[in-house]
Amino acid sequence: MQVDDKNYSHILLPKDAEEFKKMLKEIAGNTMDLNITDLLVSGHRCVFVAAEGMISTEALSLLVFRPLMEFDTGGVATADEVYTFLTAQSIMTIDRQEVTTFGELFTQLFSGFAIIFIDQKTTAVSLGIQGYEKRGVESPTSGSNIYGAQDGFIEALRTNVSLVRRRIKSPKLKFELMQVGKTSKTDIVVAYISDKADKKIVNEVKRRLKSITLDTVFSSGYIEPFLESGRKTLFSSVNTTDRPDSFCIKLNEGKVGVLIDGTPFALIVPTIFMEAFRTVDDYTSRRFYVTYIRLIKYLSFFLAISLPGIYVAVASYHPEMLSHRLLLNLLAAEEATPYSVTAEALIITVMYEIMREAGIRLPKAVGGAVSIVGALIIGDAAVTSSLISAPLLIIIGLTATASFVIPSLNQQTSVLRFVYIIVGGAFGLFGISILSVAVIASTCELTSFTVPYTAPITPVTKSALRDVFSRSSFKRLQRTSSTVEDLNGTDL
Amino acid sequence: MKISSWQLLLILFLSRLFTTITFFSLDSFSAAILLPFCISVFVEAVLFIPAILLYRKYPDENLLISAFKTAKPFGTVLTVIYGVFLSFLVFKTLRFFLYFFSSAFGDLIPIVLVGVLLLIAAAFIAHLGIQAAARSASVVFAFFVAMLVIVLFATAPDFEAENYYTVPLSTSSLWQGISDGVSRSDEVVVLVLIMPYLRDKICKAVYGFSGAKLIVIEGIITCCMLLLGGYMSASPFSFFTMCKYANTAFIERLDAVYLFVWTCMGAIKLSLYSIALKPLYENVVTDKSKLLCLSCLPFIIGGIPALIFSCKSQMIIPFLDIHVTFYAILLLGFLLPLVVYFLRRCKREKN
Amino acid sequence: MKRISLFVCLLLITSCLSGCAPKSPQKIAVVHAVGIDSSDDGFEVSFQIFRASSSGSQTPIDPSQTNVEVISSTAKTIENAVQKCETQIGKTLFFGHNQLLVISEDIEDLYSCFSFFAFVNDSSINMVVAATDGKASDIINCDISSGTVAAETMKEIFEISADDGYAVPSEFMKVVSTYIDTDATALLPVVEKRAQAISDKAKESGEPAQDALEINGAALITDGGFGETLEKEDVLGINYFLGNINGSDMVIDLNGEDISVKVKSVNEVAGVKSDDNEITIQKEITVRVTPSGDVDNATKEKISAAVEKEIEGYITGATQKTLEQNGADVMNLLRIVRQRDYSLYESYSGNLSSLLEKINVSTLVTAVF
Repeated sequence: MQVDDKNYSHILLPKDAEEFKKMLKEIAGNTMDLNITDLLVSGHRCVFVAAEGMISTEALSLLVFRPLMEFDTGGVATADEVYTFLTAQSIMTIDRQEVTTFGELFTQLFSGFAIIFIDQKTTAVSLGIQGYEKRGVESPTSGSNIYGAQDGFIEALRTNVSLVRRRIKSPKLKFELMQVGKTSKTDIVVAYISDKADKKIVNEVKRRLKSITLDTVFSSGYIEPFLESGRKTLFSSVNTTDRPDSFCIKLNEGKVGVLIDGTPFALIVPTIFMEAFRTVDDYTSRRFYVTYIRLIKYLSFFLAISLPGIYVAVASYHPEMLSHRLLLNLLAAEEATPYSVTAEALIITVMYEIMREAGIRLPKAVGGAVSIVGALIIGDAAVTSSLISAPLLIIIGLTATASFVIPSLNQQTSVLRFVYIIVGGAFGLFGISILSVAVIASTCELTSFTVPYTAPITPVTKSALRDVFSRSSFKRLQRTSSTVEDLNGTDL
Repeated sequence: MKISSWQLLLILFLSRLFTTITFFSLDSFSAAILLPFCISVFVEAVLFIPAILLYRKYPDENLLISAFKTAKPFGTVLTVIYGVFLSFLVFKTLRFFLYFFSSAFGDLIPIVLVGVLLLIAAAFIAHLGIQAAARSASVVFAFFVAMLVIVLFATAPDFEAENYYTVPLSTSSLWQGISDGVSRSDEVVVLVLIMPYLRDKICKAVYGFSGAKLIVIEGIITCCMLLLGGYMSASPFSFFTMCKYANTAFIERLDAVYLFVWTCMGAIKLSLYSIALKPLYENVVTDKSKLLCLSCLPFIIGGIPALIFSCKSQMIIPFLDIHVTFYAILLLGFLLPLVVYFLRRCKREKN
Repeated sequence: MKRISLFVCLLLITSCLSGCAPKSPQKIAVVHAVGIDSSDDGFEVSFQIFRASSSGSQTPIDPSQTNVEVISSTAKTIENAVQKCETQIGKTLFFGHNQLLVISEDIEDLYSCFSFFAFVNDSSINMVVAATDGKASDIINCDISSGTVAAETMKEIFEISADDGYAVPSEFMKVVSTYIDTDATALLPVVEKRAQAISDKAKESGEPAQDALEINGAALITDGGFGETLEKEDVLGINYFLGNINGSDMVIDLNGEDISVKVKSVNEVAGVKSDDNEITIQKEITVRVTPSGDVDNATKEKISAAVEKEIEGYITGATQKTLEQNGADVMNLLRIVRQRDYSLYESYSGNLSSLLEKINVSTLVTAVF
């Protein structure tokens, strides 16, 4: 039977070893990373298949080859004897599976399993002796914290699973393995706590993941759109995190997590807007400080989005709002600049975005040079040459700093800031209010698996408000723990 | 896509607040306007009764759907009447807004552009649905409360007790005040149409709305009187003048802040008029572009004349403000719902 | 839909980059003070506007400079005068931060002055309104060098004087409110310009004497025009009656010894008694007295009595000058009658001056420590 790399998935393994090897080579082609070795196990012919660089050679020799070489039935073993030895009599590895089709075989093979094909047996045995190169567990990269754990997810799925498992030592924590990507066959794991997460949400997540028909899935960003609500919105209704502790906190709130092989960022649904303002440090610091910092964060978000737009609107349309001295300083500063306040704001915002993007992409070696150039050009020369005014520079600087307080909302703040400047410059505070009400309405309309995105602020849920503007004491939190089901407006 | 009674209360309250903080009655600046207003609130509480009866009996139907179930021609006629009235309310609200904007802020932005942008925002909110409007109303209400608190704190030291005086009213003045108060309460008509969106008890929403309206609006009017005194006759926008006078350490004047909050309230109020008609077609029409067109219909019918008139004349026509609206609200908010209720019950008993 | 959105965005970007904002900083001239004089053509209006003396966008305003310039024009109406000045300087006059309005006592048409500022969109209604018996333009041209701008300093002078009781509080909104409620009656502080004394060293170096402003009484507005000027003591009496004193110095003569005390208004309670021919407004006024040093109880009683007598004297003088001699209500008397007995007030509507003729004022001052 003619097989190739297009129609192999459901083809059953043949009985004959030669046939098996032939079909294997037809499917895999001349790929250099496939190792196919003939061996005799107690006189019976077997074929050993492994992907180069994917298995641990030490585990292979100690756990697989040694027991195989020591296996002796006193004569030529039958296929069944060898099979029984491999599956029942020897320990070899904990992760041991049976493979009946070429689809399963290749999936296992390229996941780091070693395959032993037994002549005259249509079932092969796969042994989990993964040994591919992977990064060690390091600090999370998306944001730093002071008192929280310093380990973060890595690209290896099973390591990530173990990071979660050792924090929640309960059998209620479930991991369900799936694959997405027709070509990449990326492993993903759906994680939830069975008595916290609503069954409807879990089933819906699984349904949406199964509906993915992409060829390849290499990062969480590929899967995120499939978990979001249908409407195009500013804010994402899917949360991402590379922190295991944060992931576990959210699982405990009745949310469902998705871990993806090959990316350290996990997805969590459903999510609410207020979660962007919570960090792990909020649960390790004193309550009064947490309240203070949360208010700073909300203020920072507001400043990051709207301060330049409001400044432009007020300076151009409503200068009566500014205090007298401030207005006079503004007039004095704007006296010599060649452009309108709006144009200046747009120029400096674009310059800042260019510097920021360059700072992310450029090699570390030239990072220092770019910082100096940016500071000199924007900070000093532009103001001294009267290209822009000093008050506006302060505004943009403050805005830029404020936007780093909530890194998870960086995309939204960058774009909205720009839009607010344009609208404020075109229509003043009237335009700002029109845009604001539109943004508020579209955010309020958003739901994440029927959970209102703006909960518990609106609709109000008193019990959940404990962790919005401040954090209640843990003594109080332990009395009444709430999950997403308890949020008003949820329609589960 | 249902809302709670608190959300309904807030959205109706915000809609009413918008009217109050735009205009007061120009006839009297004494505390005399408080008594007729108070009575008008009680009158509205009575006007809500048919809506409550209809909701209790047929919670998933609004007035027009009930009318259709009574008799299709009757339903069609009522749909046209309510559609026209809602378009008229769009016209009236937009005219108020444009008149205020041009009087208070002059030629800041071309007035037609102001109207168009407001209509677009309202249409957008209406398209998103009642939940988006109700939740946005909560957020905007928080902004309003913050602004109100700041304005009151900033102006309270300048209140003069001598500005507050009561006036014994003649029957005609009392009647004028009551009809003026009722004519501003188009929420009576809107309620009978947006009832199906409610998932809780209606009495909580309706009477909570009346109570909140009574307390807050009377408070605002009283504070304006205490501060402005005779200056109220120099400007019909009393609350706006109060914000203009308020001076804080951080913001010199709060009139632009008022503009921000008031525009948000105006957009939500306008969107309510389109949302009120949605129960009729949202389960029938599935095409997104058709849904969008239908939700924009009241804005087109009512908004375009308002924009045309905004170019020609700045004055509000008082006749339209009180007489037509008062009787229309009586008819569309009380009498017709009562008629529909009894007809529906009769039909059900026959069946 | 996407194309429409893109078109709208491009339109917005183009419009906002075209510099069409009407009040952008480069287009406006911030007016700090306005002076209105009478002229043959109608009004001579002077505007004190901000002029940035800095160069380059980094240099802050130099507070040692006056940072203002004065422009003026003559026209039939104030609106015309504004337009002429705007043409002169090539910028729009912005009244949003106007601190001071000075009106010359020669002006007969006060209604035009008030209505212009009441109906201008961005006009500040917190500005101080004052009168002058000289030229308002001289006041506006006053070279007060301290502070960022001269008008700020001028406004502070008024506010401090009002706290001391030597000037009536005269914010524009309050003045207009009184003007409307009392049939075109109001009270404005009178401001004068005088040269400040300079040191001998400054004289020797040839430095010119600096200008200073002095509040000197108050001008009555009756029937929409300027009337008599009240003395400082009358103004004090009015302020004590209205409870506007935040801390006024008083020197009490006790057995030949001068004791300085600070007096602050605490509370006022008004009542109205009316019979056929007379309407008596009774006001109980409580003030707090703070002596400059320690005093015993006996002295305190003497000081209280002296302060009460002094205040009652001021109030009596003010009542005589304003109510009896000029028939002007600047002490909120009509409002008190309106509040306590509206039917009485209404019976005189259209003829409030005859109501005023029947009003007697009786005060009971209590000084507490």
